[in-house]
Amino acid sequence: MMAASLWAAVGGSAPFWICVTLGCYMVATTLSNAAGRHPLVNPVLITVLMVMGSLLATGTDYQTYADGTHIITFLLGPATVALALPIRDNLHHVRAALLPLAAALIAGSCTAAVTAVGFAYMFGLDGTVLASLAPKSATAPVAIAVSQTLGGIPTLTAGMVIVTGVTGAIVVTPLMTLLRITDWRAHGFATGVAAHGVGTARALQINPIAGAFAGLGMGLNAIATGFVAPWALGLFQ
Amino acid sequence: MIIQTIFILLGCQTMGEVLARLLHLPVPGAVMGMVLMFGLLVAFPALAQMTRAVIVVILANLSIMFVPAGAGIIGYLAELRTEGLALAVTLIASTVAALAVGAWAFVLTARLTGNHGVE
Repeated sequence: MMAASLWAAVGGSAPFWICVTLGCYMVATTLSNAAGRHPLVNPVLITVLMVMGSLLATGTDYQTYADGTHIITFLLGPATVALALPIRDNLHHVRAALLPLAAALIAGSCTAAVTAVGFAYMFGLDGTVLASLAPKSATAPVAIAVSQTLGGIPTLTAGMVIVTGVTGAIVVTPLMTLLRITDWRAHGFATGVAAHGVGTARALQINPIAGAFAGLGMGLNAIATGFVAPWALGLFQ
Repeated sequence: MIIQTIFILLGCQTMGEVLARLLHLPVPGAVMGMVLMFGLLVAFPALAQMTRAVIVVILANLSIMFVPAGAGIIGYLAELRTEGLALAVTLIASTVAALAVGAWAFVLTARLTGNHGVE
C-alpha cells in the first residue's frame, strides 16, 4: 500500500525519469570507457535500451517519459547551435576544402535518402513508412519536420533517426579502415551527413578535426534534407 | 560564463527560428541558429573564448540528448515484430552506403583538386 502510493507520487514525475536517464547514461559511459570506447559499446544505444527496459518494467507509457524528460530533449537545440564553435576552430580546414565538402554533401545526402526509400520500397513497406524513412539521416528535429510535410509518422521517424545515428557511430570506424580512408575531414564529414548528431558525438570522441567536420556535415545535411528527401520519395511513388 | 553562453546559444536559436520562418526555409531554428552563431564567432573572436568552457561541456555530453527520442521506438515494438528485419536491413545498408559514398566523394574531389588530406 505504502509502496503503491509512493510510486503514484514519483512514477510520473519529471525528476524521477530524468534521474533514471542520467543514471543509465552514467552506467553506459562507464561501460563505454571501460571498453576503450569500442564502437559497439555505444552510449546512446546502451542508455536507450536501459531506459526502454525501465519503462517496460514499471509499465510506464512513453508519453509520460517523454514529457518528464522534455528538458533533456530541449538541450538538443542549444547543442546544435554550439556546434558552430568546433566549425569555427577548423575554419582554415573548411576554407581549404570547399569543393570536396560540396561533393560529399550532395553524394552523401542523396545516397542516404534514395537508398533508405529504395530498400524500404523493395521490401514492400507502405508509403507512410517510406515517407518516415526519407529524412532519417538528418538531425532529429529536421527529420521530424520533413517527415510531417511528406506524410510520414513523426515518432517513427524519431526512432529511425536514432537507429541510423547509432548504426553510423558503430560502423564508421571499421568501415573507414576497410575503405582505407585516412583523411579525418572525409571521415568526419561523411559521418555528420549520414549519421547526424549521434555520429557527430562519436566523431568528437575519435578526433577533433573529424568532430568539427561532422558538425558541419550534420548542419549542411539538415539544410539539404529539406530538398533531397521529397525528391528521393518522389522516385518511388 | 554559464549565463552568458546560454543566453547567446538560445538567442541564436530564437533568431534562427525567426529567420527560417521569415525566409520560408524548411530548416529548423536550431540549424539556422548554428549558422548565425558561426557568423558571430567569426565576427567577434573574443566570443569563442567566452563561450568555450560551457560549449565543451555541452558537446561532450551530446549523446544523452538523443535518449528520450530514441526510447520512442518502444511505441513500435509490435510493428517491429513484422517489419523490424526489413527496417533494420534498410537502415544499416542505407547508412553504410551514405558513409562510404560521402567519404569517397570527399576524397576523390580532394585528390582531383590537388587538396592535401588531413590525417
